[in-house]
Amino acid sequence: MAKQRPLSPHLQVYKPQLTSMMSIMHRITGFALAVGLIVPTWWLVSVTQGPDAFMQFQEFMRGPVGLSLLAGWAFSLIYHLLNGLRHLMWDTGRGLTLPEVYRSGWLVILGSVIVTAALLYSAYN
Amino acid sequence: MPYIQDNEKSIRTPLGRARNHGSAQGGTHHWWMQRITSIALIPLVIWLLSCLDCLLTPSFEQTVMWLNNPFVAVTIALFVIVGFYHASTGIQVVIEDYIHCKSAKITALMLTHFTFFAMAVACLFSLLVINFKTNPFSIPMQEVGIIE
Repeated sequence: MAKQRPLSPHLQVYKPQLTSMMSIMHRITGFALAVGLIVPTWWLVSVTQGPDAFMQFQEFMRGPVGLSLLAGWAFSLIYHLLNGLRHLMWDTGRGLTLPEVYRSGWLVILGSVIVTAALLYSAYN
Repeated sequence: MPYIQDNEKSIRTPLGRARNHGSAQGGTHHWWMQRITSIALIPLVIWLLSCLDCLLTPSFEQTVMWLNNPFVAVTIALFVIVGFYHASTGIQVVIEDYIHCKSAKITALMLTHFTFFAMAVACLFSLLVINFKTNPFSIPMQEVGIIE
């Protein structure tokens, strides 16, 4: 296999578009969520270990690091969920023209911000 | 092993047939499982988000009580099985796209699947412990060591 082949598209000179940025965001949020599955694992295991272990878990999640991570995961979850619905729509062959792709893209971004904000608001109150 | 018999219309070469090369008839399985798990995760995630109050603030006792509900335990178990499967198949695609060295790729794929499988089993086992160490015999939690 040739080793020094150029990478296409040339990411350094390629103009970012809504479509490509949302595509990589889907992958990044999915990766973050996969890593974030450590939280429910820690949560469930800590319950079996007794109140002290559970307290440790809660103290970490309520600390500045834990809360920032939770906020990031909340956005990732909502974005990945809404953009995933967009992908499932595409899988049925719908909404594939360029104007429709941009419209659903902005809709997903708007929806993600609103739903995440509502989620964080209800969580902190 | 799925196998399509060669007939007169086959375009396989005799050498390819002799070496048993060709499709294993599983080309879309990974893609299809990702779609199925993503659809299953929609109601599961919405349900989890609707239970935010039970997930975020409760005390240890409240959490144990909540998880002792069969509906809650089963739904969380479903989320764990489907969610961890979806996550590991998703990471698999990322690894296959970005890691080109064959030995590193296979190692990363194995580590990923081992890790997610182990975490899922830990979650399911915890749910069983929480449910069956206390409920069936109505023993107070202090006596079985869940609460000291």
